[in-house]
Amino acid sequence: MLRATLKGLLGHKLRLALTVLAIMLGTGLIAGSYVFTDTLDRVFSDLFSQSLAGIDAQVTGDVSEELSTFTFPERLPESLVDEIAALDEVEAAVGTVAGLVTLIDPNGEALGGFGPPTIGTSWSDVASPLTVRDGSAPIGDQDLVIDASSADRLDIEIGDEVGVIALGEQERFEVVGTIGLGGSSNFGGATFVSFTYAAAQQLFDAAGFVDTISVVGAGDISPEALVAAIEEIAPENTSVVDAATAAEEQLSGFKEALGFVNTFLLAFGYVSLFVGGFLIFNTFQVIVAQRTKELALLRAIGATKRQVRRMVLVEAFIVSVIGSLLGVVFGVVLAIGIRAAFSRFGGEIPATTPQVLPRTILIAVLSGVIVTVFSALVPAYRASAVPPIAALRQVTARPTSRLFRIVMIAGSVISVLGTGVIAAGLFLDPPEQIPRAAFVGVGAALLFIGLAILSAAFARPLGRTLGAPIRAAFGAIGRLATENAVRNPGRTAVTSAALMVGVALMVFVTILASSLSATTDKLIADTFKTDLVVQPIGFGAAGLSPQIADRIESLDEIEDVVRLRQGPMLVEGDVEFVSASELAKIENAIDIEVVAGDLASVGADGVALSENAASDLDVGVGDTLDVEFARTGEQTLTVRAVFVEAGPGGNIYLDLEGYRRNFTEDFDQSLFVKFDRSFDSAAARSAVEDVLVDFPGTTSLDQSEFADQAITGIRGFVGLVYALLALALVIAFVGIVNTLLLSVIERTREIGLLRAVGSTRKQIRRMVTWESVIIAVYGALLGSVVGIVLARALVEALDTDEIVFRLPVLQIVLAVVLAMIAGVIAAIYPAQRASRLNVLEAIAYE
Amino acid sequence: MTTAVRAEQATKIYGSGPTEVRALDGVTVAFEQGRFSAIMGPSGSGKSTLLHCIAGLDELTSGKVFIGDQDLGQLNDRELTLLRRTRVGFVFQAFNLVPTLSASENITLPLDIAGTAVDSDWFDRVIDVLEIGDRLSHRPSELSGGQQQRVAVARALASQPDVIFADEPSGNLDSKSGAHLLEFLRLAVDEFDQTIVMVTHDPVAAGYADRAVFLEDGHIVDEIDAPTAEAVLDKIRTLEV
Repeated sequence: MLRATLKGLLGHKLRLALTVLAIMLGTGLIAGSYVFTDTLDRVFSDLFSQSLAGIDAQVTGDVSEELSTFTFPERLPESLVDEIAALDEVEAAVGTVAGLVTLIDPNGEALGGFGPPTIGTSWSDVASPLTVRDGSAPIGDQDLVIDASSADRLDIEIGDEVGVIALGEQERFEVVGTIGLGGSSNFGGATFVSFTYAAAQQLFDAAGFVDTISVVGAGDISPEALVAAIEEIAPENTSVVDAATAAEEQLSGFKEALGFVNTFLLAFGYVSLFVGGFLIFNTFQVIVAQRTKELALLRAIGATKRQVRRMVLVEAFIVSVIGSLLGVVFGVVLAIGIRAAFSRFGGEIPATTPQVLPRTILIAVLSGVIVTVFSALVPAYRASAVPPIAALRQVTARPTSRLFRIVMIAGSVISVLGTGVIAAGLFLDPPEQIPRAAFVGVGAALLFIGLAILSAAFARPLGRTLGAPIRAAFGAIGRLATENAVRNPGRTAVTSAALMVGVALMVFVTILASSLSATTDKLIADTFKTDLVVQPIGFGAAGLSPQIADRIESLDEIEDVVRLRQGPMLVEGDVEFVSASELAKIENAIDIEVVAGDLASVGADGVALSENAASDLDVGVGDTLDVEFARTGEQTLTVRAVFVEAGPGGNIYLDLEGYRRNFTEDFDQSLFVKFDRSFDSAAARSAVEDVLVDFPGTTSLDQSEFADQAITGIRGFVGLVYALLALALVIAFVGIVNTLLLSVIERTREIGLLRAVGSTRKQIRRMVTWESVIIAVYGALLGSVVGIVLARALVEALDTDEIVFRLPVLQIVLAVVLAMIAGVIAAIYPAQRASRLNVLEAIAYE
Repeated sequence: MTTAVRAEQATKIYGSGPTEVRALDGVTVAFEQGRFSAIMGPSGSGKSTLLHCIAGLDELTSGKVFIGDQDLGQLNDRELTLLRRTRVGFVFQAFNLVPTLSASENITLPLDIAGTAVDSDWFDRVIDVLEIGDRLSHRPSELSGGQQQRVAVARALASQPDVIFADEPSGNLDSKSGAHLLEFLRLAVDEFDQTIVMVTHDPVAAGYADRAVFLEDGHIVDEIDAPTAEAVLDKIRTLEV
């Protein structure tokens, strides 16, 4: 039987190639996700272990693991350094001060922008992994060294003068050297600068304190003994870990972030593979239909149903293994592409050999095999149902109306089940281990399968309707094209379903994005009460030096400035990003409606919550909330106000006093600036901008600019989603090519007849092309409808009046037009093939 | 009498060297207008090849084919297609109809493809003579084999071509339906003054023709005017000896 299977495979190279291609594309992104994140993991594992080279233990303020990724712990007193150094077990102990800075290049431009952050530390010759590459270490308090790869990238040379902004005004430094981290000159894409200890303490406002103490043990003392000795003298809330543990801890936070990226990419990988499943299903259906006689002959000479079934499944298995392995290769290419894309948006990621772990290959092949074999199950059962007698006579198995009804009922049940699972994922509390997204994903997959089955019922009437203008324009050829498109409604339904999935997701995201943009626009218009917002440019930027607010506030043209800060806090074990502002006067900046309590009374130990947050946490004004900060550990806050509008700041507000007490960072995130009405607003703005000239890397935005910036962010995200969905659409496109080719091969005699009675090649091409367009447009229309319904359902499910539902009609029309063009392109090769058929051979074709 | 189709020194060679097959070997023959001609011969005699070549479906290795005064060798693919569309009708042994189209759509297919208006008087006469008026809206799958072949004949007649080529038109039918179909072909010649060239190996089918040409090993070996089934059978026996 195996030999028959292999012969069958090799006998249809083209069909094989397209199926393999679909599996390859489908598994490619899955493999690519792993290759990409494994490669990054590798890069940063190396980096973190190098960053602790030469150090035996590290002492920092204690911070819970959840918060350590996002923020700094409490600083340590400088005196602790000497106390540790004095221990017998210790050879050397060095205190380091570190923080985020904005680097200003010799031309006065801020560096970094949207890339990874710029990190500044104090320099040490001992107990430090940093080594000087060129020039010298910083000696004077105006000296600075920079990592060699950033110096190269930013075109900074020894002797250049650069500016640094941390918490105060811009300070000028002279670049005296370039540094590396052990053997590497790249710090994981971040820019790394170092100053003298004194200069760093001054920059980060840390006189008398250090952030980290790096310790080298005396002699060959064990890490455990060293840690124990330091813990003896360390004050409370201090964390002492050996170097290996420290590297692991640093890596674990990073790995978690990487896990999100991986899951996000994988989701699209599985969408692609799912779409590929439709193509595979169609191909095997046709293979079985075309081989009815051969299968019947096998049955007649004694093959069991089981053997026939297994023959189809083994064919599917072989094809899927080949396709999945090629998918891994394609995945490496994709991973390199993703890295390049990330580099464009997020700065350099150090290049390393792409990491292809055995796990990656296993998962890619396993997913490919499962989806393929699963897709081939129905065709395999159909194959085993071929009666031996079919070998002897021409039987065209037509689905009976009873079977059709059963299939339609199954389709409805699966659709309803899918909808139910989605709803369960959205509204019910799923068990801990299974994320909500898994419910929504599985539900959506079921819904799409159900709809694909159901759409077979609409394929005929809808396809004919779509074909009406084509019939009117092209007469007999148009009629033939339409009839061909709907002739096998099941196949048309499955082919267009692949496109439906891709288009539905695209339309869904497009609607959500445009609704979100409209909502943001409205929200900003409703809540934006200030004249100007000052913000840092980019995500990696340190934030705004608190000096900026002070200087703007002192301007005559300005009535008021409200500071907004953000930071992480643990609430009931979850990391929440809370906002902090000068709550007594926040109403000058944001339209915030208080329903209970008083914002002005929040103070250092209080918190203000939105109505949603208050009801989620089941607290009201006067109740207390147990939280945890990185700097100060567990704290109890009293709820002093509840408000309606979330505004730009989110659901939880601290007063600035509370923030200062509980966070080490001292940056502002945004400043809301209100002009003095007695001045011209243009003059007021230019006065603010004059201040900002001294702080490169910052920008001021009025209401419409602020809204534009928010919407640009949404658009960027949508662009990323489009790019990732593109693969699914390419597979759907391959599916159309596949179906057309199979149809052309099946209809060889018919096409020969058409040629014999006088159809020109051009007319045959046109016929195939219009068939393709009908299938494509059918899929795009179904997808648009499903996308619109899903988006509408989600907006309803969110159950708030704040979301503005916006239907981007133009984009949806464009999607359908693009599908039409895709249909035309998909038909090029099959149409060419059909028109080139030799008339005589076609007529004689068995 | 005018010639509708003729071949001059028609030679068709398949393969080359030791595997060379001369399907047609210098055949010169003419078929007159308004007559029903049969090309007879055993399998492998080259009769189907001759039909394909004179119908413009296949190219000769050497020699010439004319439909009317038109030398087919002078035409490119597109011109040949247009010639088939307007001046030639076909009836094949099987798979004559497009399954997605109704009987009447199948009949007018060549005209529709050409974008030519249907002559409804002519259409009515043809379906009347072929007795398929009540089956026009049916799909091929809903018609009997004999009805399908009559629809195919109607299609061949629809464009009033110069000549109709029929390749074993009754080959797939039972003897009663086959006889019926051949009567219709006869009618088409007698009633509508059509020209039909039919390939067959069946002496009974040849008995309906005005003339039978005998082909063997790529050569014309004999012919009979106004053949009867018996005469044809006798001739075949003598040829095969």
